[in-house]
Amino acid sequence: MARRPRLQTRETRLGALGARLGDAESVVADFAGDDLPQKRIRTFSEAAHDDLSAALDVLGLVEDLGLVVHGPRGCAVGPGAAQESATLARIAVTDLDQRDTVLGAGDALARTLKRLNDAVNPAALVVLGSPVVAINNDEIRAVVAEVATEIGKPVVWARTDGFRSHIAATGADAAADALLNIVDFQGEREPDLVNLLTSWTGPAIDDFAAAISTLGLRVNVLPAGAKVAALHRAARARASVVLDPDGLDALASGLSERFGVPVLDAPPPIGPKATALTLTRLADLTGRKIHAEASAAAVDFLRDKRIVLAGPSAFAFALADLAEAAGAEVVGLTLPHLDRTHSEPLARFSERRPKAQIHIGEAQGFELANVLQRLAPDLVVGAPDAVAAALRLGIPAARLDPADVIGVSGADAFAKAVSDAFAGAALARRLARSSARYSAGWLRRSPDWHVKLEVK
Amino acid sequence: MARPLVGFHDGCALHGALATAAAIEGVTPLVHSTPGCALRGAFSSTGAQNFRGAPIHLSPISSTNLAEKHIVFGGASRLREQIKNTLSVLPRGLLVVITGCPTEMIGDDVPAMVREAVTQGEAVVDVGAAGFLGSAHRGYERLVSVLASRVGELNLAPASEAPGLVNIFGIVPRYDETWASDLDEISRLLAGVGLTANPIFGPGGGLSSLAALPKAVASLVLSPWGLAPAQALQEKSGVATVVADGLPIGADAVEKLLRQLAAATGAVEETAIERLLSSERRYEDFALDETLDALSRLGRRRVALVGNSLLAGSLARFLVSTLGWEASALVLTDEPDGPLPTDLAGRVVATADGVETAAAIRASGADFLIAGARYGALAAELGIPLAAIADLGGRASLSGGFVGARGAARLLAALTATPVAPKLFTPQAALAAR
Repeated sequence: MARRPRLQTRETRLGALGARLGDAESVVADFAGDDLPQKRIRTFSEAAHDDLSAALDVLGLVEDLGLVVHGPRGCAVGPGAAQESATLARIAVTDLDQRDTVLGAGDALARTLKRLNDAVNPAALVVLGSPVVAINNDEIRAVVAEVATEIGKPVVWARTDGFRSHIAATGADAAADALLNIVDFQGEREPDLVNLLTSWTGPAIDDFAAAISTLGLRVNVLPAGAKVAALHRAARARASVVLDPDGLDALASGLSERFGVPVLDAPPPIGPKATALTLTRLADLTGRKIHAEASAAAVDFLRDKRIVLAGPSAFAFALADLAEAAGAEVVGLTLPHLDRTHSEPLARFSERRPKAQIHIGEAQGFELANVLQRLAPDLVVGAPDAVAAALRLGIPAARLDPADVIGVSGADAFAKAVSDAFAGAALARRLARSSARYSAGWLRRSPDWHVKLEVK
Repeated sequence: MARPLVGFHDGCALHGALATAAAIEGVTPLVHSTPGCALRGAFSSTGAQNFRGAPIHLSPISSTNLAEKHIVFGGASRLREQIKNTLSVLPRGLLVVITGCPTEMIGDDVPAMVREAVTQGEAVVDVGAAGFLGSAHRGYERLVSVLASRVGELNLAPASEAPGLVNIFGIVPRYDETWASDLDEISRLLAGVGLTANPIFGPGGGLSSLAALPKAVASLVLSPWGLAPAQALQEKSGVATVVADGLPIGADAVEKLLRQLAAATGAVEETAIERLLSSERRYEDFALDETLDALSRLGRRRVALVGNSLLAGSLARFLVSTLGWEASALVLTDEPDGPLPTDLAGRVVATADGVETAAAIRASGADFLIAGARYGALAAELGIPLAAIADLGGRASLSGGFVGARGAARLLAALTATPVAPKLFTPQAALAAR
């Protein structure tokens, strides 16, 4: 059996950066040449996510998938979708102990796969690697092949290890690779079927799917809330629309490369204008007629307000468009990572706001506190931890999940969040009186004092 | 040896040690491991649903976030750098270095790095809590044992004298979900008889609480996980160990606990105990009166209980001795060491495995389930009510807990608030009952 090449990390594949602070035009320069941007590392860091958690989060979205984490028991608990009761029931762990770290535990993996299969009868099984088995070089591939034959259903390996990449989204790529290895392409192409790739569910997603249906297209929503059958169908679709490019870009491009399903080239459909653009391009791609218009006139409810946006990178750039349409000055973006897939929206943003600060770093609260304190925006919108950091500095802030702003109604959801944040500023004032979480010395220092170029 | 766990409870030793360290005000946890190890614990212990970003509810967690090169060439120098910069970025207090599986496997000399900082006058201590050593509760046991045995070496400011001080051991922050409320209520009860609780964790604890450990008149052990720390402290400082039957739920359990403490410390007056018990009994009487109509409608129940050893056994004891119910199954999900308490229920199992737990519930024939919310689907399938005592998210720490008469009142409210399907007479059921 030929050994598959190692899964490329986001750093290698797309030149991803996970640590960076600079104005927009300097960050654009990082991605300008043919060479990958030079990697930066932190000499101090707070706890960060890894590829295993990201993979577990994506794979946990598929409702009839059994997941086996090959590692100590703690490796199988996780944030996100994996926390939900229904998902917990179909996650198993080999629960390695100290002896296994010395002698290996291939048998334990086989036993765990079979036990989970007996217990919940999933449509397919995925094994996720942990740091312990990666260090120990435990054989996973052979066990997976053997058990698949024995139980007569797909068993695949999501190649996570916890340390090769510092970009957690590499785990989403490992998950995509595993999901694509489950796909069984049978039958013929379905020209009226469109994949809607989303990590989120909710009314706004449903509305957007309904909007696609008005083009006379059927919508195959995955992986959130989907079953394995939807993966098989995905390979027969006419095109894929990606709502969460940062998490699901690899799944979309894999469907394109392996099964010839093209990916719609459009920014995330956030707000009326971007939604109309997405639907128009989809109509063009699938040969449909459309009369989509960005009907609502822009309302400048953020006139003269300085705002910082936080969240998954593609989402944050799309939200920046919406904020500027509402009259805001976007003075900063705080993003988990940045890579070549973001070059175009980054360049467009930089043209408008060359001096806006781009902060790249996931779960690094000390950086957020320092950057937000210096920028002193009127408002922070987006990711929960950035919102919490802002509130603790006394800055009004509103949490906004990507799932809330997808589609035409996204602009209204954004306007409501902004309005509520200003109206509810009492919480920010109260939290600003709580004890400081970081030393005064750190808050006086340059916020990227600890970020260094990696010496190869 | 590895064993398959499906739909399992708990995190790993690293997660328990981390949650424990983070619950002591003034302590900064530094996790020396690969990325992901710390945040998996930080998010999962509170039922957080979002994957992105940092945990909002915890104080900052310093982490070396080791890369592949550290796995290959060693991560000790990265740890040295992280210790130095943690002392610069985060407020000074006690830095607790917790090592994960990868660093234990590659053999980093963590004690040497910690010694370097200590010789410079910094308060730093290391605790080996690799995930492969066991459960989150095991992580608590390891961390608190280290702190208890080395408290004199930690460069902490000396604690002031507190007569009648009682250390509280065995409540695991976040993994025993009502931890903060339970510590608070125990503190209130002890204060009622002239003792001072030393809770270590939460808003009533902190570094001064740690420093005061050797000055206590006794260490109260409320679960098996508190025994090793109490014994470590007894060996080092001679503090007496008092082992209780889990959380004191209801007035009778409070009485038993107070009399145990009175006998061990000689520092409690009988009149103070009687005064407090009178108040506790009045409160419990009130709660029973308020819920009696609903209790009588509910009828005598055969209960399957699923929970940690801190809570589940005590709940069974209260239900049997105060309500007259039957505990048909008791599943201890934290898998405590030692013999299981077979006197509490017809069937007692210690397992972290969801499938084994479900099997024990099914086999028990219970007509009422007290368990984590994750068993809602099973309760619905079996057609029996569920009172959820776990999987409640971080807010459970503010819920009031289960200690004392007030805890019993909250339990009664939860039991009687659970919708019960009407018992319908059917010929089949009557025949089956014969």
